[in-house]
Amino acid sequence: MTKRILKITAAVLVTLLVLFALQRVLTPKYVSEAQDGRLIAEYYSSAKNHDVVFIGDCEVYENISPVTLWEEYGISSYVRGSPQQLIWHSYYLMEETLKYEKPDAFVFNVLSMKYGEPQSEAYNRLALDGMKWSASKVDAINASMTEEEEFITYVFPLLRFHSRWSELKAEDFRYAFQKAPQLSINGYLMRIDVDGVEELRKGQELADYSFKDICWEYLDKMRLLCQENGVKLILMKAPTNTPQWYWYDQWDVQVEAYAKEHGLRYYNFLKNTEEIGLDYTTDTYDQGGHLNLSGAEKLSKYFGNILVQELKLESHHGEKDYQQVWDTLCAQYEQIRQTQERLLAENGKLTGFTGLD
Amino acid sequence: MKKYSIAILLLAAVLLLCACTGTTPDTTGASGNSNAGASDTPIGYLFTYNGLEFGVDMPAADVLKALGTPKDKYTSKSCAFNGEDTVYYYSSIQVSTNNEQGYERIYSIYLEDDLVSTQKGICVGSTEAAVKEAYGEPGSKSSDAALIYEKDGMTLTFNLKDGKVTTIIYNLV
Repeated sequence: MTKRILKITAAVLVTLLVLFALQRVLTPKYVSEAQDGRLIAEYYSSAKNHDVVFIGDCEVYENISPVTLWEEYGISSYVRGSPQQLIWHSYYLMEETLKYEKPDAFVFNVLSMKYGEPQSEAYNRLALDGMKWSASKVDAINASMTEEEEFITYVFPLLRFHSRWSELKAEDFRYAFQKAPQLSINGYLMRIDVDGVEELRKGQELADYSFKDICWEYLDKMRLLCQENGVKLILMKAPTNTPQWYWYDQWDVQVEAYAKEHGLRYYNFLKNTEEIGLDYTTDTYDQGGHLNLSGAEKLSKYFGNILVQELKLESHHGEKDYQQVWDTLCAQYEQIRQTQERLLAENGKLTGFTGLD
Repeated sequence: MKKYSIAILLLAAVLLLCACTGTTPDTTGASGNSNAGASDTPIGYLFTYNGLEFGVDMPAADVLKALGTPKDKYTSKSCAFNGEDTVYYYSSIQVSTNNEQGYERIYSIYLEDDLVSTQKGICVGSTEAAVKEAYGEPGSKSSDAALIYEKDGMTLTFNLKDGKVTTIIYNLV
């Protein structure tokens, strides 16, 4: 009888191991495609002693350089960004971050106020699959799922990705049981190339400029969460110059009124491009959609000065715990920059982000 | 052999699971590079420009060729998915396309001045009453700021200010 139980147990264990291995192989690694899907998970290996944590979509992870904030002001920061991060993703990432550390401030980029409903499963996956399991992740999944999605597929991704078997690449096996190389520098994704734009783009007129109730609800939740935890909430709008992600004055007025009503600081950097020194002919790599390294460093230098004043931050330069970590990060930043310079010289263009691989 | 039966059965189930053809979330932004399966027929309300009739949800290539060189063009990648969006700027109109499905498809036509009009003669500057007379009662999503008409999975929106049309948009829902 005991022998039979042992055999059954062994059979079940073997099956579970096979299923686990299959799941590891079949789950996307975001190495050659949709690289920014690796961003959320990279946070867990960072030092959790940040003065400022930026939360939001590509307007934070491509436009804010933590290394510049460190080098210029001794500010320790991290960017918890993911592609088209929606406001409920941001809220739960903020909640989760507070379980690891209590920064002086969260800076939330407000572009996602324009999205009142889940946009696609793919973006949910990029924001949620990288999160460690916690109550925040469970709530985030429940808040984010599109009608076609099922919670169980987040618990067992094999159920969702099993049909990738015919699309598998070498990277799926290579990184099945080991981490893919680090892509970001504290959440920042670098692009050094230039594809500028001469004129200022304008968005197409909209039928309705009001933000959806759910966006206001989550902004309220963020504000209260920060209040309860003694963390300052700062709102920002990154400078971009595209018709697709145009930031309308009608939206700006609403965010400004909210910030004023609740005593929050709101910085719309679209209004300060001259002071920042931004030049859309040289400081963007995709005709105004996102800033390149030159633009991100200018914006970070400008914003860093504000953060120092606003939060009364003191430089951590020379503090052993910080200096060691940031020396490494600065060297990695330089390494990525040099890699991109080499690729640019060899190929005449960059086709994606490069990390420490 | 019997002792392995459970494991064999379970593994068979796993292999079956892997072999079945579910839908993989799009992690590439493009699912092909042809427009096979796409219909050349536009849906809903159509638009005529320089004698060319077209609409949303149709392949853009032939339309763009017929429209000639745009005054300006702007292409942007989505953050990670859904291919590239391109806006083509012509005199009086903007045509927006997306190549998510591996080929450029028109998803929006934007009329910005009174040199062009809809097939029912409405242009920028027309009154709200004229729009209603031409198109009937608007859909439920309409407001004081816009009259919205839905047809065959697309919308025709007349944005209004002080009772007059300011812009007109043909949009894929």
